[in-house]
Amino acid sequence: MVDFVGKDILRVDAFDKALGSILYGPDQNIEGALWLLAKRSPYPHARILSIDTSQAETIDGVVRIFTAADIPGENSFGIIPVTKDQTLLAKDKVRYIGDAVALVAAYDLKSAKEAVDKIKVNYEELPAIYDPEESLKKGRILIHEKGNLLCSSRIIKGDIEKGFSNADIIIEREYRTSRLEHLSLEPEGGIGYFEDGRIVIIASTQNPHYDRDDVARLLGLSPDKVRVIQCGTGGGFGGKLDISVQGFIGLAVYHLKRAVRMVYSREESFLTTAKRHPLIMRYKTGAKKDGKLTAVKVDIIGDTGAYASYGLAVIMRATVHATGPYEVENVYVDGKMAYTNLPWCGAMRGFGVPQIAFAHESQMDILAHELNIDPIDIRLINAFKKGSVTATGQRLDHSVGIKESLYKIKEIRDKYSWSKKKGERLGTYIGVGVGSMWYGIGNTGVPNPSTAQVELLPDGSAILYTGAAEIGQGSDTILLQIASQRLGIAIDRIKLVRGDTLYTTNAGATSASRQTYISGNAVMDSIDHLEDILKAEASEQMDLPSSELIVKDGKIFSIKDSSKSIDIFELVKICNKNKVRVIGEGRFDPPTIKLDPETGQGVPYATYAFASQVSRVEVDTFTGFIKVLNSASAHDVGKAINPKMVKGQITSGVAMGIGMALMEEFVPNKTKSLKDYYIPTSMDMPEIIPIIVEDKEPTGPFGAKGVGEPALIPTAPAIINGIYDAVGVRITHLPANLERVIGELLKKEGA
Amino acid sequence: MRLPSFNYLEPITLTDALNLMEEYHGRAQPLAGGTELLPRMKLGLTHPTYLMSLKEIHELKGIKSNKNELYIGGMTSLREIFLSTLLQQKFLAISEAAGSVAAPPLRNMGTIAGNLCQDTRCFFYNQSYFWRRGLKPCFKAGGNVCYAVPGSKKCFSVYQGDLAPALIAFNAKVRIEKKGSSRIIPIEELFSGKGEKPIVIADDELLTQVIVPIPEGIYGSSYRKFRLRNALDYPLVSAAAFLAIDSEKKVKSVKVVLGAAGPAPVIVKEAEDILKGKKVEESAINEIAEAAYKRAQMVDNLGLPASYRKKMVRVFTKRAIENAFNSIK
Repeated sequence: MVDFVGKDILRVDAFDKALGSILYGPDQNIEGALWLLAKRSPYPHARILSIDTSQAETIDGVVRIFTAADIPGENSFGIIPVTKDQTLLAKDKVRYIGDAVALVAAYDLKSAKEAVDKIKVNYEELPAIYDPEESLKKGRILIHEKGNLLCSSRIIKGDIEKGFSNADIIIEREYRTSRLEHLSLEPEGGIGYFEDGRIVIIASTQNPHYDRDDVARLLGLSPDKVRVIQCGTGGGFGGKLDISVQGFIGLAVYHLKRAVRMVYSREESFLTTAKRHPLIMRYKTGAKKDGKLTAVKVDIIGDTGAYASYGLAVIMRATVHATGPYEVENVYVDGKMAYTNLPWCGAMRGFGVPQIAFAHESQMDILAHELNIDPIDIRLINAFKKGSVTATGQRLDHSVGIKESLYKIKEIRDKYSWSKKKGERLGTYIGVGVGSMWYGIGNTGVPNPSTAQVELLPDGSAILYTGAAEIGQGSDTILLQIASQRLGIAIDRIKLVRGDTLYTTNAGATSASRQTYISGNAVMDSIDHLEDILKAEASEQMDLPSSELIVKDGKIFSIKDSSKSIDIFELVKICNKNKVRVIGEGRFDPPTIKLDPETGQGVPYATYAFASQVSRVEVDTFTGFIKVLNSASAHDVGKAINPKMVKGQITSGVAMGIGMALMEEFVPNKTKSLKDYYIPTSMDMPEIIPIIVEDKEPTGPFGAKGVGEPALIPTAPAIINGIYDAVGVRITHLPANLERVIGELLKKEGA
Repeated sequence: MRLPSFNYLEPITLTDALNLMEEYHGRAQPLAGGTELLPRMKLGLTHPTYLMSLKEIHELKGIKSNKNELYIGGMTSLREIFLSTLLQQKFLAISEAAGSVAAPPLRNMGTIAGNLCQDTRCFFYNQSYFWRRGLKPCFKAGGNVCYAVPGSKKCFSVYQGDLAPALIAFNAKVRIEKKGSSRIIPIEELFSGKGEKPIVIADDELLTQVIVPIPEGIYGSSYRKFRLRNALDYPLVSAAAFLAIDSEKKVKSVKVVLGAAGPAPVIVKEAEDILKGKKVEESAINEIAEAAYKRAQMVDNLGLPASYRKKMVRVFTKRAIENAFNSIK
């Protein structure tokens, strides 16, 4: 039998993408569709006194202008059910520069722009808050009525004071990270129209079923009156989890019952979509002389900006992961997320873990240097192993590949003799840094099921139905590989129906590195179900009890007599003749236990990915310029369903991590577009050695876990620790841009 | 962002082009590689009614030389200049400058004339309509405010061309033509020194050729560019150096030119006094770097703070002189 799992199968969308035949959100168009454009707030915090659209309405080409009063349902949305605090069109107040206050529908974009300029909004400016710590002080102005604290999260394990009193060394540092922009290949965009009594929205999204439910809620409709179809999506990185154009398109189609189109400009996308949460992380880490950790105490303050979005999930994930992939007996982590009048923050590849990993890995590096222990060895001393208990009290019984990942990178480092030395040019120094990480697959301590269906057709082909959004990460290919392997039929004989809420059921968001593990398992379950159906039918045809039957190589055999068999597609023909579709329904929800609100104890995730990375960097002490020379990352993915795609993810994570480590910073009110937000180019890439570690996860499909977000996480720590190794300065505020590096070098010189 | 509408002209001879420029009374905007102009049009920073493409005028392309001078046609691509063996051997700084522009696809399109005639830039000006519409126009946009230096009476936008400093270091000249006449001026006279309108070419004139005298004797040159990333970015600071020495390794002539240090390339005139007749030593290089530091005019209107960029003037001036000296074989 041919194997489909574990093989470098060509991505099923490769040709269509290379040929440019996939239509992305901004490409979507229908002849005669009206253009939508939002009028946005120029103030960070202001009360809306009045909105006058009369002059704008007289412009030729303008069809209608909508305000909050036109929203028939609940004017609030947000990806987490308990924190839906964002308005589609602001009602009383605007909370950041860019909040939408009105929506224009016009025959062409030029008239829409003109109308937006002519809409008069009368504001009463309110004092604004830009600092999360300021925001949490009492007596400050309220951004939301319920207060400026979005949420908090706490993890308590052991006795923290005892942990520190047992320590030989205590390291205390503060770390900060910056707002980041996702920068998907294409900005948000889509179309909508009215068909068969439904509002149909085709858009760039990571989460079609959530989109459908929140749009229906905004419009006061039942969800079956809204159909969302995911179009080609060139990238999401978490930025397309929240709704963007979908709500506006839904509102316009609801009232106008005609085709509309909305595309964000890159500037609008920068200004009005989610950012990565900047975190302030205060660490106190205690260890014995031999490097063994005794206590970790962390205080985290996050800035979620004007709205909640995924703020709750980010602070929970950051607190849960705060120890790093290490066994620590005594832990106390306290996280708070505050509102400010800055652009709102949401999900971005890693949900707070890239930030927290920068901090815990810097702490480990400081300890290694202070205690004179090899940075890889100190991690090995503390790394989780089978049987370890995490800070939330979860026992890790399977698939704990952190040590293996450390051995792999040690091999590379030693093989190429990567070590600290002088660079070729005067004033340049080369250093080597290490970063490790762990990452829980799926949502934190809440049910997050996926569902799927597999149908067999009499012509020997099959259809896989999934709601899982393909955002470039490759779930289409992975899910088809899993189905192929299980059904024993070639990948090109399986048709994929994906991301259309009319024909597919909810697979949950493409986020939290969860689709391979969770939707992959849903596909596995649907095929289990399918086999049960086939066995039942075969039992009748073969006159044998189902318990005596097995499915193998496209046939059903009797366990007792292998000469007795029937082809599964023969059974399908028989069923179809009797007007019965052969369709297996699958569902999987990772087993988790909700975290205790006081102590954070519980089982937040069913499984974790682990990784370690070593990066070699050159620091130019005259300019502060940092060049990443080489990088090797070892990722425990459980099982690589498609090794080439896993390596692709690892490579992309290093690329994105270099941006986070060295240059990316969204400065509110200053950053406007790609002209002032720098991301690395291909010329800034190092040699990247991706290494796959496979410590199989027994609950995963063929042992697989996930890699999408883990790929990014160890990069920034490895680079920052490499800078320290090279020149002895520690960057505690990301990014390590030219000025920060030079500033620290000058400080060191002065001292 | 899409291009606004325009009328397209495509002459196939230089004579036709100059005729069209006269016929349209200076309203025919020359289009060379388009890598600068088209993005500016997309941002709504300029609105030409007529675009006159020069790409079919083959007489404006190519590199030639005789015993005394090198001639580069205005429409010669930056890629060709970067890869020319003659330039790599005799005019290293010019080749290095061409090779440092943006990225390969843009160097395939971009031309030397277009690169020289590029407009100055400022963080507050080079923004889309979406961002600028709420603000009063600045000096550069024809208004009378400056967002980079509030209260200022002039524009502080920065000339970030890579080729100009290297060409000035070699005492290059440019030929400027209009219908019925032609003039040759030193490249430094191409620049007004004013951010509002940095290039002094009349609306009916065309920059058709770059002429570089071939230096005599033993010499070396270098162009060093500082930017955030290894591709795409304009220089935050750049320095070109030319250095000729005699048989005793004493300096016969030296020229150091800074890029991205004001609204025009900045010649560090002190260099000649400091080094002429002397050996190239660190103290003298430091002295030139200090003079360069003083000459650089920088305000907070590019990607990094002015204070940091100014510090880098010293570093890159030194590197350019050292590299120029080391390139002497």
